[in-house]
Amino acid sequence: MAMQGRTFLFMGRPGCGKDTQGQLLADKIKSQLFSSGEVFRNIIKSGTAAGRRLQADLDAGILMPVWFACYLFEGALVGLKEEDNIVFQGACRILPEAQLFHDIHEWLGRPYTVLYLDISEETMLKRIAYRRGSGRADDAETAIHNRINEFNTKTVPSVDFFKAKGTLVSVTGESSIEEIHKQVLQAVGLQY
Amino acid sequence: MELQTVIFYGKAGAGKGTQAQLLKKYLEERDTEHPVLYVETGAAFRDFAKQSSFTALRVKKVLTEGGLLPEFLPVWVWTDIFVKYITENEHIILDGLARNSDEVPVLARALEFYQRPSVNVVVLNITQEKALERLRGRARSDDSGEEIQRRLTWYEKNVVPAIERWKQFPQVLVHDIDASETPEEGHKRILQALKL
Repeated sequence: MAMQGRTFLFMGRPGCGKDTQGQLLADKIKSQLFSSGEVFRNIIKSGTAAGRRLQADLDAGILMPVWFACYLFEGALVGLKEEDNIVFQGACRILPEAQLFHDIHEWLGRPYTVLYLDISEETMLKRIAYRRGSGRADDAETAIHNRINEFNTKTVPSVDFFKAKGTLVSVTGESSIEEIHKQVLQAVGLQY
Repeated sequence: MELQTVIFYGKAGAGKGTQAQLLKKYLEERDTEHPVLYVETGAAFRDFAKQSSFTALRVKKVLTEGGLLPEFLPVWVWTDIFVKYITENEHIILDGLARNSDEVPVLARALEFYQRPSVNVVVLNITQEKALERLRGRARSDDSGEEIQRRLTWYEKNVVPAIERWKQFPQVLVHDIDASETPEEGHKRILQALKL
């Protein structure tokens, strides 16, 4: 029998470094890297009806419909072979997605680990500000506020759900990229 | 012609596939400007089961040996077809979708997302006796007496509540069609209900 593949899902506050760490882990274990954001942008660019509708919703500030968010990560999961590894970044932003993510793994009999990159609110604000440079426009300010607010109200319940299921491992996201990567590997039982 | 969105329901033996095909043919002949997207989830599942992914292998096992498919899979299968094939310039005929009531609001939201102008649910009704009579007349290997009974019971338990759920959506019209006569007669009644 083929070796059982593993699923890793990175979560954390905006600015916690999940994109960077997701990429590093995917490179390390030679796995597919799934980014909801990227798939979403590709569908918008594709010129299909779905892409046009999503663009219109985005322009109107409407959140992506739940069934669509679920569709995005389901596609990645149902395409996996048993031995394939996969790293997710930016999935399960709301509770129904997290529940479905869990159910699908259970049905597949496939283990998964949620890697929560823990940073303080202060670090989050500092990193976001750094990312954007110094010249702040009011709308960018609002966008950041919305993202933080969305994390606190929508994503925290997902994080709590995974905690309750015992599938979440918390790793500090405060240190250097290399140091965090080391700790991530350690947390999932891999050699640095 | 206004773009049609028609969702077919009917127990085994009601002639659902036949009526869907007759409607497809009608629309294609009457309206050459708009193609018809016909989504039949049974066929889509069988196609999916031919792939080599782990999920596909599991689905294949369930399809051949029986067992339950998880709820997310039917939704994923039709969403995938929608995302890839809906251009918003076509009529849509759906067959075998939303067969349990939890799936109904998901499909309703998806059709709303695509801003389909009007959604019609067509329910083909025949009596249990008529269904049994028709199914026994067919020569399908899976149509043994026990299997037929199992499918009819499953329909009552799962599909009937799903049809009821559609009635909660004001933008959706549910039409009960008597399908006990010939296919031609049924087709005529469907066109009447859809005002075509």
